[in-house]
Amino acid sequence: MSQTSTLPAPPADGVQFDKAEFADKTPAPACIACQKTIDATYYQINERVVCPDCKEAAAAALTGGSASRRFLRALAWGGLGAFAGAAIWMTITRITGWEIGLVAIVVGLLVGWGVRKGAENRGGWIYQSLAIALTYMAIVATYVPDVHNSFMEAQHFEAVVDVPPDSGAAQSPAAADETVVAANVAPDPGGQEVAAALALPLYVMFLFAVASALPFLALPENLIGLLIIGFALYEAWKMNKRTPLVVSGPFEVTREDAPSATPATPR
Amino acid sequence: MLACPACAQLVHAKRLKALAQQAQAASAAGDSTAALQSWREALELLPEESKQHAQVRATILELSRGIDATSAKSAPSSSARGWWAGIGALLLFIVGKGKLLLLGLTKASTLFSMFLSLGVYWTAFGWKFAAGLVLSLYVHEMGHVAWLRRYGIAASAPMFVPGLGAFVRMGQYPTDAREDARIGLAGPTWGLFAALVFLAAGSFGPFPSGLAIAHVGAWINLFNLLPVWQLDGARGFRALSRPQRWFAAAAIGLAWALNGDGILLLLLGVAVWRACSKDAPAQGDRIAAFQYAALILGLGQLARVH
Repeated sequence: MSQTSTLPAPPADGVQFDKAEFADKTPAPACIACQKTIDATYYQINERVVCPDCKEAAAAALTGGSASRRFLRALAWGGLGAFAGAAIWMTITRITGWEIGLVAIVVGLLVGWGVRKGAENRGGWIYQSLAIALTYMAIVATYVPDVHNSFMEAQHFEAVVDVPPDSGAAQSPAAADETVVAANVAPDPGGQEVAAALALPLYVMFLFAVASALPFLALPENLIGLLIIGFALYEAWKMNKRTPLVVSGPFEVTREDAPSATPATPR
Repeated sequence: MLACPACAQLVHAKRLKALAQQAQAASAAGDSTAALQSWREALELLPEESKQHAQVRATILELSRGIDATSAKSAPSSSARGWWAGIGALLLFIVGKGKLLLLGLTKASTLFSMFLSLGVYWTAFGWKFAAGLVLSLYVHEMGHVAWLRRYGIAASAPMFVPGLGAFVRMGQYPTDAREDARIGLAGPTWGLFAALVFLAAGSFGPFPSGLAIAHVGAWINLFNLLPVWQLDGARGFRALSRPQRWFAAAAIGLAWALNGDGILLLLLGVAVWRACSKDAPAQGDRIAAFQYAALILGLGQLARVH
């Protein structure tokens, strides 16, 4: 499909394409990292111009520092991303009633960005694995309230089913005896508090475990849901790939009016 | 690096000259789309701060606005030549779009990914709904393709991703917000027509699933109108001034009052946020504002169909 019409003479017709023309003078190259103008020496990292200071900083960032501290930072930042992602995922799912693939990608990007920031842009399989674990947890955490509600409903249903029709009217002597026995063997109040305190975290962990298995338990009907989670994991994984640094240089800038570049003299 | 930092020699001088020649030949032949294709490729090979970059960009904008003006002139008018001329123009329009829709299917990547998506949706929703859903997504994407081709912007064929939808990857950026808005809003516009066809098929034809497909198709297009990230709505909103953004938010509010769907509430929240942000241009694009509002109201009503 092409559009035909009587065209005005294009203003770019008389343009020459031998040398670049600039408004004032040939602009000096600037460092892609610190934006400072480069007047003398520069390097190229992955074909991008950097000043000597930033080149040194980039090299140092890939070699120095404490690995465990970096991992903890990645965990903290990634956790923050996971929290934000889960909030967005839950809000949109509740408002619209749909699980949307594009929103899953946003969750993956948030977690991936957090881990990458915490890991100081290192990347690598450890951070990739951390990113996908946090992303998966962010998404399945949003299923926890539904799993809890399902258990409550099931418990309520069982209670209704178990209650005999005449339970409220009269209690059999045997049942009354059982109640007395139960009262006699009940644990002390302090023990009950400890049990309650332990029960809540255990119950939450149990709910989380069920929620984690849910996307797989619902197969094959949930194939699309699993694919949607897959997009989120892929984004988080992709963002934490290790990028190899290809450094070339140093190059000298020697311009006609101020600096002008001379052929590179590799160090 | 596009120019030598020392002598300013353009690295791609030879290619640039060839592209300029091609563009001039296309302009002489009256083919502005072909001319735009060449100039856009040339623009990528020029340093952004150079005078040549500015000159080529100005040429692209002039050609692109010329295309918009030609499209507006060729739109059917009821007063000029009467109803028959209008119907004839409409038929030609439909045949032209139908040809593009068929041509799009000749790309192997589109066809294979389409069948893969169809298979996945089939397992969940049955073949009739799955086929309708995939067709709706395809028409939406071809709306983008039609405008990308018109503006001479390099782009991939539509690719389907099961569970995610479909996408067209642009090889070049639109030159201004107006172009971006036309391309972005073309998807939901074509999607609206696809939903209308399914609505008609469901209401009057022997295809009851058509109603469900119309509902889901309209809903997906509404979601795409969220003015955030890289969604179609964000492309439309880029071209809107602040008062136009409030106008769009008002249209969403009205659609929500009529429909009550949660997606419209989400749209409203994001639109109000974008209307309050400072990135709005002083001079907005009136066509984009009305197109966005019409899409919201039309799709909002269609999303009520069950």
